[in-house]
Amino acid sequence: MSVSEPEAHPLVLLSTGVPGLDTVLGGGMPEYSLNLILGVPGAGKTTLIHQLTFANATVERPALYFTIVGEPALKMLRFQQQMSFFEREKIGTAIRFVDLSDVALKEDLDNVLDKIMEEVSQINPAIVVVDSFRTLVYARRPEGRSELQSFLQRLALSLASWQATSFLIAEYGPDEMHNNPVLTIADSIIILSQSKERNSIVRKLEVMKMRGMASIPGVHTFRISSQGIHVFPRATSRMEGRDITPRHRARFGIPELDDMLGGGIPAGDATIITGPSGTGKTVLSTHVLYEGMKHGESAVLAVFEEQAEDYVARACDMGFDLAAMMRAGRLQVLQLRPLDLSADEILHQIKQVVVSVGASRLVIDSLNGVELALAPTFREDFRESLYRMVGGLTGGGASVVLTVEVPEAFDGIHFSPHGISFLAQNIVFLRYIELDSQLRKLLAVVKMRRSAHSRELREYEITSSGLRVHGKLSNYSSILSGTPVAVGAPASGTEDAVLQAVITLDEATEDALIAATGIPAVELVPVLRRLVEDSRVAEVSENGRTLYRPLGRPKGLP
Amino acid sequence: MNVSSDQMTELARRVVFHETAGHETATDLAIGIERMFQRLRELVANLVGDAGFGAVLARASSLNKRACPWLETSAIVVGPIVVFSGLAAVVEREGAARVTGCTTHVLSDILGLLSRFVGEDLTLQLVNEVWKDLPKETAPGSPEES
Repeated sequence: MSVSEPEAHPLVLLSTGVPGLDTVLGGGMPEYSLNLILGVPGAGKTTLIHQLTFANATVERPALYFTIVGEPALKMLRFQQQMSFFEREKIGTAIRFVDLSDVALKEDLDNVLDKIMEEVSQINPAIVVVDSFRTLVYARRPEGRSELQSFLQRLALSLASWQATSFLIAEYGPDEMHNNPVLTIADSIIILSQSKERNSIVRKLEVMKMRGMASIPGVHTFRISSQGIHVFPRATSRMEGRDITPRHRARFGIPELDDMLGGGIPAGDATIITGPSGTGKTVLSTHVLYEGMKHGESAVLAVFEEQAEDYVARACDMGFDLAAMMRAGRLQVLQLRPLDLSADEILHQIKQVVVSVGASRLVIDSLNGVELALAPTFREDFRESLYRMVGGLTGGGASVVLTVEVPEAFDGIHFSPHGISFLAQNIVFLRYIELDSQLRKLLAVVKMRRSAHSRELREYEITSSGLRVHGKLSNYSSILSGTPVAVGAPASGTEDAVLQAVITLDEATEDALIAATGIPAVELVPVLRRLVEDSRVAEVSENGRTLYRPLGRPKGLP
Repeated sequence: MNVSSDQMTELARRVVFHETAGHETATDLAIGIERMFQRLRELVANLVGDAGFGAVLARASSLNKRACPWLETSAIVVGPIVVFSGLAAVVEREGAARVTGCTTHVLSDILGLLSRFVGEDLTLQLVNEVWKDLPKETAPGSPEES
């Protein structure tokens, strides 16, 4: 005889009817549970419970909504009618309001419980709401915590016996929730809060307790609109999507660049296109969008910096007819600039569109715009927000291209302003260089995690029909300094003069060279740097002084 | 100040007629009117409590006291039951027609106030829940019949 593990009795879950909340709760609200919805005034408790009530109440199994001291049902009806979830036909039939303010104010809690149970036994409701339970006691005396605990315990037992799922609402501040014995009775506790910073208000929801369920820990953001509450679950996993063909590449449609990338971006990867303003990041992102759509793929463009129509118009001017792609249903353009978003809300909106159009390519232009679109409270932790957002977007099969603007700097290379380059599998780096008295541009593939790639620095230009990649800058050194030096070419007259002075003096400080050549410091310093980088002059520090010593003869000189 | 619409006035006429028709004596008529307000209380008190219902009733009475001075002198007690003290005597003194007319105006204004808060559609729906057996036909004395 084999002994098998006893199977757990599965919980029947009620869908809350609040988008995103079931996911946060781990599937929904357990039937016959006693749940507390807590928060400060204005946090959205009543809207949440109304949305849930309208979603679940039926004429056969109605909801009983008890109002105690606080907002009367009449006012709730007045204001909640503005919400799209409000169904007028349900009032008085599927949803019955019972005002208990007189009983609560004039009689003791036993009478309140009797009144509640009298109504429950008559109506046989599936859902019971008590709004707000805290005023039951505080309307009478503020020290009545133990009385309230006892009342809630009896209420919980009675309502569960009547097979009702119960929701008790109360105003609680954050300081009152810890070590509060009243809260131990509940099967679940949901806390709503809102934080204000500068001109933005961010609403947050936290599941403090959830018996028998694997809820998603942490604080989730939510928004209240005329549709009601929408919760944006904290992204903890990658987007579900199609299987990725391992060898499939998303090409830019620029042969030279695609070659540099080993054939294109591996599908499903996140790629950062980084560079200073005007280097063509947006143009390059348009290439990758259009190339996919040209071959029958669908794409999503999320614009955070400029007006979407400007982006589309500029692309059309270059021959990328994004407007036609939009009309054909291959391109969805999202414009997101509210300045009070959370990373999870952005993620939700983008994901929704990506999934709805089955996009295989997604461009986010730009991450700097994403940062601005976030509420100030999330900007402080931009890296963490972005980490979860990019993590959530990749893995669904879509290739994600993110543009990042970095300041032009000649003293080093910066791929992103927040050290976020680790988020992407691939980085394409654009920058300016000064060459032959011209401001020119070069690009490089800095990293590809899953693929071999070119290490060349290639010059490119932005033309009226897009980006053209030219050959590598093979005859120059010190390219990444921004002021390349032609290798093997005769040194300039100024360089000759400085080098000759270093040789003559054998060892010289900057001041000595200024005195010997008559060249001002502003010109001398870059010349010395080039000579050092070209290994013709050595720079040494001795006794706190910087000295220059000759290493070779001037090129082209005997 | 008129807070009621024609639709609410007509509904009030039908309700008052439904609750008072056939009540020949002053006492019977007073009982019919009290019962009507009692049923209305069950509807309104669940939305705003007894205190809320008392406030709405007081407001509607105040709006009509010029045309119906007896409303000022007749004490209305709102509790588990609604009591119009001395209403039978008022019917004797003023006549049934005047009292039912005033009652119609008061009810019409209560329904009008409710409509201002939650809209006419929801008010009609709630009233229909209380007076499920209310005949659809127009009550005598309605504008259509005059």
